[in-house]
Amino acid sequence: MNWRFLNGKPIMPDKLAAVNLQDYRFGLRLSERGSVAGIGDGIALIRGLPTARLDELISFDDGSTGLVFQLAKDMLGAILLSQSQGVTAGMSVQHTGRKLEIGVGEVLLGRVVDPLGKPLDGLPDPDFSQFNPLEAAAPPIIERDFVKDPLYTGNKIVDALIPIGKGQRQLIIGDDGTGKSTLALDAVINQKGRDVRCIFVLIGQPRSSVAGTIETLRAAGALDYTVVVVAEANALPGFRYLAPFAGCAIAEHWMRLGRDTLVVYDDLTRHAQSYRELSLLLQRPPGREAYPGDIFYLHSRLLERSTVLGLSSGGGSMTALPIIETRQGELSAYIPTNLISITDGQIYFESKLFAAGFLPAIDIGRSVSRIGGKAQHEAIKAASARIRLDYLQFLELELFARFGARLEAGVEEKLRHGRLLREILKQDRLEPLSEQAHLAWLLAYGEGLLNGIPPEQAAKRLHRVFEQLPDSGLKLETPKPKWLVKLKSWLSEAHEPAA
Amino acid sequence: MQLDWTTFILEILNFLVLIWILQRFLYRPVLDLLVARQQKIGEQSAQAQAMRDEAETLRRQYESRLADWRQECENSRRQLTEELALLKTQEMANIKQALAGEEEKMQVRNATLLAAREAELLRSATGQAYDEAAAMLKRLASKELTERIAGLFLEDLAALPENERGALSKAGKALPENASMTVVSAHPLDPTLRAAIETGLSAAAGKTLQAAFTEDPMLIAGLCAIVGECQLHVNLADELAFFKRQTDHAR
Repeated sequence: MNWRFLNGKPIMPDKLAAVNLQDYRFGLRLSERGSVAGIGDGIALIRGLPTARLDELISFDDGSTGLVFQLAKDMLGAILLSQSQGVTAGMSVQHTGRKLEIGVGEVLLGRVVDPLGKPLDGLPDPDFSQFNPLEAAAPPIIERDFVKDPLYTGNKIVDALIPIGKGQRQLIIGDDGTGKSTLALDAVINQKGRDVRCIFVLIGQPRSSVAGTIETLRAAGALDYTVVVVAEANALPGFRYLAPFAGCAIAEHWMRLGRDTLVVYDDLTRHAQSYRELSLLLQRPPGREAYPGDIFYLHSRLLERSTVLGLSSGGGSMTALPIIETRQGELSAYIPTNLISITDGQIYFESKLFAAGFLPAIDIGRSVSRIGGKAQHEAIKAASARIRLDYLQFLELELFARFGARLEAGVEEKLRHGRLLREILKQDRLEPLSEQAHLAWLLAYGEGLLNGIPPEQAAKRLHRVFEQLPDSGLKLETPKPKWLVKLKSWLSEAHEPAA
Repeated sequence: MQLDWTTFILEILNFLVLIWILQRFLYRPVLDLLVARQQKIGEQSAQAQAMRDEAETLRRQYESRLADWRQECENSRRQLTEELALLKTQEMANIKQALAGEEEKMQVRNATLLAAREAELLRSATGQAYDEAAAMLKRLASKELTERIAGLFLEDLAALPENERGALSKAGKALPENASMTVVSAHPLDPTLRAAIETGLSAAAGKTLQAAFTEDPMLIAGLCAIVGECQLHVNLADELAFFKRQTDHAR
């Protein structure tokens, strides 16, 4: 049924712009009117408005705004987009004909906003000049390009063994409290001076965690090029549902302008739970683990918007780091398996490694980057070619060595190298390393410059080497012999205090 | 002098002894020395000749090597020139490609920014235009204008097309028995006009309905009626909002 008329002629909403003003005549116009049938838990059930469209904005008489979330035969469900308590049963509801949009642009840098773009940091409202829809179609295939450039997270394990390219979607997965958010923070902090815009989306987190994250970014100077989109744990479920789409829309604006962007979704588990909550409230039929049937589509349509655009489309990129939480390391749960299949690889955090003191607790064996290797720099790729395999072999040998059997000299050597590598791979939080530092430790280990040094001391000496790197002028393109000469010199200097 | 054979023989023996002594202690060492010296000179001469031959050989080798080196240098120089030319060509091509890519990116970016600014200007101009129009109309609005619009409302209500009349009728029939319709006007309406509106709406809805009349100056001029799920607009504020939405959709 179409209830919009002009001069007796029906007007489809999509064709409103086609109205010819020459035919215009002031007169009576009919439109729809709905009424609130029920309200609670951040949603409103509305009777009427038969021509309402999904994701359309509707307005209540008290000035509140809702987002059409479900269409039923006689009722439609809407997500409340405001915290006001003025909406009551029986209140009138009207069409707005608009889609949900969020303000985008340079004014958002350094700000903390909610999914609607309203500031949460106590500063004045941003002066938006451009708006992007939260729900937008992913770039078509013709606009996309290959992942070519590396995105350095500053983490030794990730940048050397699980490389991430600009435009890649790399899942960060693991149990609660294993360091997933810390890795994402390191990645954002490491983008300083690299002309990468970062968007950190905090979904369903306690206010204390939100404040801690923001303060960490501010202390590291990363807030200048970062936008934080917050939907707290006590926010309306609709806000938690919209938060990642808001962050994606903000990043998409910059991507369309040819900029490189990095989006962190921390985390999508709570996002899925919020979506489940909304769906159950609206009496959608539950499926596996009580999630609605379109939970896969929810995350796929979000993450498919992360890509690299071709030069004809601006050449920008959007790298996504979605974070997902597992229960007791169960990778085969519903939401983790969905996201593993959507993304281009995963970084798996093992709680046993965390308990053993290996930080970051990344399980190298289960972590993979399916397309990041093509974007990795040739020097780092060559230096790290065998390290992954050697480390995995070491882990297997170490398991057998626990039986205390007499081992061959070769096996002993491998075990010694493996223990050295494990100590080198450890890294403190909020201390991202540059790509030159990665090449330094890779060459030092690969060429055996650290042999004969106890593992604990090797890490300390490497730390001193890292401190001298910025002034050395060494780059990734510097020939390997020069690197080796410098490394030998620095390691020898580092050896003098111990002599 | 008388020749004495003994003296003669002794003189001969003495001479022979002298010759022997000279032979043994003078002639032989001297001859040996001369032979050794001659041999040494010969050896040195041979060695010098050998060195000369070797030097000649080396000279020829060096000349040959020098010629080869010159040839090699020439080849290397030619190869280097070719490589440099090729590298230059490749690097120039890469630079041109990179510049073309950057140019393309900048063109896309400029186009995007330009479109965004145009949209922003259009939205700003639209908002300002409608705000100014609303302000102007507010000053021009009057009770008489509302009454004229109410009359127009009644005319259009009587001439509703069938589909619109059907929608309104459906909305009216869906109302409960004791429900009423709401009529909001920008200015107070006369009782006569109120009765006419109530009668017209009841006729259009196909059901006798009581009307509740209220005033809302935000409508500027005109009125708005609510019959169940159906709203009837004939006021200036909604008309301006309608055109503004048109402009937003056109953006």
